[in-house]
Amino acid sequence: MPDPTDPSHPAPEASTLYFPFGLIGMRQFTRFNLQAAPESPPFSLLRAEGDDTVEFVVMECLGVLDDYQVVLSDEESEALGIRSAEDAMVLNIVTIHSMEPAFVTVNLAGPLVVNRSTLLGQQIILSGPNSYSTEHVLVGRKDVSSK
Amino acid sequence: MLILSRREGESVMIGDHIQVRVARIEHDVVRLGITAPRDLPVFREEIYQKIREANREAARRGPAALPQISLPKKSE
Repeated sequence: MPDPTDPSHPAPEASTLYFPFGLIGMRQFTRFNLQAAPESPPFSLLRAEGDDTVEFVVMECLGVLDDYQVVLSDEESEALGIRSAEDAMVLNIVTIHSMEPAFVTVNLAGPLVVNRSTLLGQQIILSGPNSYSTEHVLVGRKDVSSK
Repeated sequence: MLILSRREGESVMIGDHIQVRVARIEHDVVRLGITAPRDLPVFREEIYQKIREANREAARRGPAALPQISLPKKSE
């Protein structure tokens, strides 16, 4: 556990993000707490605020995975107040299917796009010629005997 | 489910603020034009289901260990 008083191990930063439309199929979750997980890079934890709390493991895939591009429509850019790439933080939801053996995938098709200044975000469904997977494999592979 | 028949160029109204218009019918493809308020996103149904399912599968309740992974370095 990092010691918050040790300058070489700063406490993980946390931010509160606001998703006015929630997540797709989960519109009720509109406020999220984003906290880095420094012991497990490149992951962070996105926890929904509220009584019925759920959390998501997320990571930034832009600039990490080759050939991944996130293009917003004019309406989406305007709704989020994003004019250029630097304005945006893009988080992708990670699914940990199993730990032993590790099988981890990430959703590239439905990124969470957040305005870095206002912390306003929205889950965008990417369209266009590149069709990305909701289960892009990060590590491991589908067990042939699974459903 | 309400079933209505429409020709090319005809529309349906859903409530006061949503319009679905049959823009073009070509062979077995129907092009729809949709006008809806900003806070109602419109998706192709199968895509919506896929993303919804992915969100549901990814959602965790309560803390659990995170995997230690190493990603390939992005080539510059």
